[in-house]
Amino acid sequence: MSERKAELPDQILGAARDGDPGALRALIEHYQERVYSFASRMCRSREDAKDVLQDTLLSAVRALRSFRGEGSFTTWMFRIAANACRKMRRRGKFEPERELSLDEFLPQPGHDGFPEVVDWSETPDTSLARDELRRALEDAITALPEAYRAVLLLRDVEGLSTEGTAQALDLTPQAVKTRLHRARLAVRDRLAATVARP
Amino acid sequence: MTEPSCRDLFERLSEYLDGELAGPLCDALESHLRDCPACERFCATLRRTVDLCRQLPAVPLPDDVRRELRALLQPLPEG
Repeated sequence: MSERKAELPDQILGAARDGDPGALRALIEHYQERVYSFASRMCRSREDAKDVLQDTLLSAVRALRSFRGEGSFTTWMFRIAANACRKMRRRGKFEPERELSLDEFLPQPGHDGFPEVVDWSETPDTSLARDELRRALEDAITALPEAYRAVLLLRDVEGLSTEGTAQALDLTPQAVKTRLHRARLAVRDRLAATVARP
Repeated sequence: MTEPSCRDLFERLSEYLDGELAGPLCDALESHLRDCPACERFCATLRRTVDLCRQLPAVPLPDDVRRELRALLQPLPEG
């Protein structure tokens, strides 16, 4: 399955692997903001995100010739970035892991025995509403435990496929699906609370 | 949503939204969504959550971080 965001053209990748400076520069330009963005939301710290970005792109440039093209290059790049984030975690900068259970997101029955689910899917499309939702979304993603945050960021924000996300994070595709669903449920819960606030 | 059918649906909603659910199970979910307003609303808000994630803009790369990266990756020539 192809990734949702644009891949680096094969021609540029090939030239970069041969050491062409212009192609290397194009490769870095193509990925630097995406990698920084992922790292920033994973590490929740500007300094750590900067370290992860540098570590990732330096490692990628040095290891370019080892890329065999078995998966997408974007997956390969995010695998390096995810490992760099894990290294940060081992330095003790991240919180202990927490599991999300499916049952904590099941809507509870209301007074009539049916669950009370507010439909906020058609919220007004004003810039104020968009800004508020975007802030709430960033907060909700930031609040996810790291293992779930990584999956949601790669699948839904960065647009990797289930298989690509599994490769990048050393997970099975089924584990990606399970974590993604729980992450989405947790984010949805936080957004619902924001939208329903008077 | 505590009925078994609702819980089963609840567990598979993301796969359904991602188009990864096929055949009889997909048909059963769609049939359930037509008959259960609470699940239908839940599904609509989960779909909106996924859409918002997909539209989330990248965190902008600060100029100083960009400059430091460029210096680190020298001797790549300036563009």
